[in-house]
Amino acid sequence: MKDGDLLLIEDNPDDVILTKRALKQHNIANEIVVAHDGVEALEYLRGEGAYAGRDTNILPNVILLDLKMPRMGGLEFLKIIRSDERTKLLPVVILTSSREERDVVESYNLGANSYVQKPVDFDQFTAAVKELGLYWLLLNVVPSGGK
Amino acid sequence: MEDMEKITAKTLIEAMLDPVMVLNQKGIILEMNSAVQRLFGYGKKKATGKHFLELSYEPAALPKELKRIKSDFNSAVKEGTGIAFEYEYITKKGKSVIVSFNGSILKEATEQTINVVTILRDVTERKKADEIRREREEKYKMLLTTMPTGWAYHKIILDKYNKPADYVFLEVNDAFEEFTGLKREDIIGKRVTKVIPDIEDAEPDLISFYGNVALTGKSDKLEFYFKPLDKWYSVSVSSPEKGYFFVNFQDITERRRVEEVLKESHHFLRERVKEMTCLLGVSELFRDSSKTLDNAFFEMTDVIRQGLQYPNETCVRICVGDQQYESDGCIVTDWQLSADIGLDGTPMGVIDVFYSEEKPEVDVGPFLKEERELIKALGRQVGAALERRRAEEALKKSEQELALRNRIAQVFLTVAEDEVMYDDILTIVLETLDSEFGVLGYIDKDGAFVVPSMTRHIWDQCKVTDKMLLFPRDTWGDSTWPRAIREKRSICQNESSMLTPQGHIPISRHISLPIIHHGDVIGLFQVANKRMDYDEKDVQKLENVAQHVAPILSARLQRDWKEEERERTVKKLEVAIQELESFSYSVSHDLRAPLRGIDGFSKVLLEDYSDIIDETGQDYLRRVRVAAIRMNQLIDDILSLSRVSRAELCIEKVDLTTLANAIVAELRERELDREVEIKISEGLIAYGDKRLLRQVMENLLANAWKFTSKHSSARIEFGLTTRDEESVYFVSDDGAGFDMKYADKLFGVFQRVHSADEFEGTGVGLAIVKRIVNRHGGRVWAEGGVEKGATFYFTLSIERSEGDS
Repeated sequence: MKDGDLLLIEDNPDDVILTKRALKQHNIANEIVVAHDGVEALEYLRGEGAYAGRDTNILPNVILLDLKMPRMGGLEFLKIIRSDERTKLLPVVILTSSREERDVVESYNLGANSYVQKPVDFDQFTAAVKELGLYWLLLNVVPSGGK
Repeated sequence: MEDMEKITAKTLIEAMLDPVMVLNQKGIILEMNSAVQRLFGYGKKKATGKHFLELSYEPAALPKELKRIKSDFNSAVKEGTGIAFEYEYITKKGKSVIVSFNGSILKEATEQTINVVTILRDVTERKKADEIRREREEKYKMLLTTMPTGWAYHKIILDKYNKPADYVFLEVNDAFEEFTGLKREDIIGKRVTKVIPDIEDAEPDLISFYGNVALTGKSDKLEFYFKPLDKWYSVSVSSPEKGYFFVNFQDITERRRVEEVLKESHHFLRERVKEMTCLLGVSELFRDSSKTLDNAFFEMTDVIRQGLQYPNETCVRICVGDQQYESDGCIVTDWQLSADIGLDGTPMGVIDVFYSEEKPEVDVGPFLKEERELIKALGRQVGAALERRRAEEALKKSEQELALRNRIAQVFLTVAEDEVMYDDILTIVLETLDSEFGVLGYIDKDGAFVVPSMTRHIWDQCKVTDKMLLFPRDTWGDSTWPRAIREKRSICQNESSMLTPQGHIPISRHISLPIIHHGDVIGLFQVANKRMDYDEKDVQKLENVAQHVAPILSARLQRDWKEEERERTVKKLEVAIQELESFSYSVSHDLRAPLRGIDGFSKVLLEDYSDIIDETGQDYLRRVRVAAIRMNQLIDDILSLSRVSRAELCIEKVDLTTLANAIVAELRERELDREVEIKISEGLIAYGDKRLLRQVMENLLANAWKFTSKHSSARIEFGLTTRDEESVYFVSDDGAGFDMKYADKLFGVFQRVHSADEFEGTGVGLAIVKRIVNRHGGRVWAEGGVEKGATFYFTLSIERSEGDS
């Protein structure tokens, strides 16, 4: 798989490890780029900062986005990429521990494609990631502009 | 000689043209001339020797008449007087002739022979005419006698100057007797001055009047009251011949009397109508509220004048208080009629009526009794009208005050913005007091004088740089408004002595009036620059306004202060809620992340390192996971409880039966091997928030499911029953039940009556149920016993809501 298959935006290193493990376990993505907050993720997408010089033509097939992060949270990040012509159609799956109704609603309002709650139970978490992977596979088949 | 005389006599007789006969003393015809022959048709030879009465062809007269004439003749002969009679003959030709005899007795010297020479005359025609006249007279007399009008025939008597001085009654008829009361027999042939001695002095002078007709022959008519007889007569007088006159008359006393009464009553009525019109007119004047009292009184002078008998000779003056109203060209005379204005009690004024003709010697006055009463009535009427007007004005004034009060209250009630409200009130006050400039302010909590409203356009003209609207108490100084506030009294100044900052618009005159509520000054009105001086009335008006404003302003200020207080509290609460929410949020997010790490890495250890961790270690790791998951469950429950409290209710129709069936189906799905008999009543419909009610049903049914899990078979029921006439839902089971001792603890947060080993759970479920039921206005309670099952009851008081059918 190519560079930037999946962009995981997550500040909690535990969750990064566990997510990565679950993804691998289910053989979903080879290349996982991790950004620790919205700012870093934007730099990645725009080829700025630490990612200066990156071929910005290569975009992730799917973005897994946490909501509560330092510097720039998930919702703000979502708002920004949805207002950018280049990234506005990128599939974004919210992956968060928040069960707050308003977070769900706001996410969909801002154009999230899916909302997955991170269960505390690791088994459930793995199952969720698996489903998420299937979803991503589905997106892989259908051209990203098709939706 | 004798013969000679006879021959001479014969010749003489023969020569006479009138029939002449010579009769002897027995009436035998001795001699006659040829005129006699022509009269009777009998010749001398045949006639001579016959009695003069036998010359008739047949006796025309009755024997009695014949006998009377013979007797007359005989006595005339005997006494030697002349004879004169008439006798009817039938001539030889059968014609009736009336012959009159006029004879004289001729005595011979010897007096032996007595002859009668008589001249005959044919009086037939004359007699007939007499007869006709007589009959006619009879008829007339009859007519006159019986005719209904009085009739009299008189002869006038002249004095020595040929002036009529008296008259004599010649004939009267029955009606005359009746109409005059005079008897025919007492008056015929008598002079009127004898019959009615008063006639000479009576009006009219009838003797002259009648005399004139009798002398001139010109008929005349007259109606008059004849005092001597106390009667009214209508007479027509005519004269048949000079010196005589007929009077034809009627007694019209009755008619005249009726006429007189009619005339009097007509006059009476006309005057009364005038008076009534006058009374009505005056009452109309005062009823017309658009007319000022001045105008009403002025017009009244003329209305009264028109109500009097002689409007043109009368003038009216009305004095009320210090005002005086007069009709045009009023002349004050001694002939005066006055009446007080007013009902009983002190008079409010006086109405004077003056008659402008000179006062006569005898002071009977020109005023009728009715007029006196009219003026008196007017005085009372005007008095009543004045009292009514005054009452109306008082009412109007109080209505105006009420309207003003309403306007002010309206502003206070409807205008929320402070500045607009105070401006509106001030505008009303300035309007009411006709003032150009004004201030309305209140004393704030710190005792400062705050002026939220001032006549803006004027204030903007002020060149005072510091347009301070808040005056702390220590800056007040000693001008009039602080004095008014400090001394709690209104200060009214009509000279421009008010201290104003340089550049402030000049204040020519003003009133400063504190608004006092329960003895405390809570604000101040200031009005200034009215065109005329302010007077007591203005102060009174402003005082009234202030009185109306005071309680409302006070309430408004209190409310504002309370509002501030409340706003502060709300803000505090909002902050607290925000904190709580962000706490919940971080709980749900931040507390979960480490838990996920704990569980996740325990799992990773179990999966990836099972070969180097022994069975006990693996058991511990599994316990770590259980604990983490349980903690997660606790977090979930706490959040869910707080959500239940915060969530807004969305009331709709909820089919509890369907809901319960769905929940039970899910429960069965989870534990397919359990044998549970479930009974759910049909058609249970409630009103409430569907999501929350689902949670109630879920929690209760899940509880029942859970607490029957230790039994091999179980029975769970959901239905509706009635307790104390109230519909009550219930969920019952025949499971583990509970000790009623703990019944009140069941619904507390984290309260559990069973150990976690026995039955899993966090102890929040029933707390959530209670909170939801409470939010639906209902109650929840439980009944049960250890190993005797449990029944949870709940009510929902929301029966129906708008928008639901």
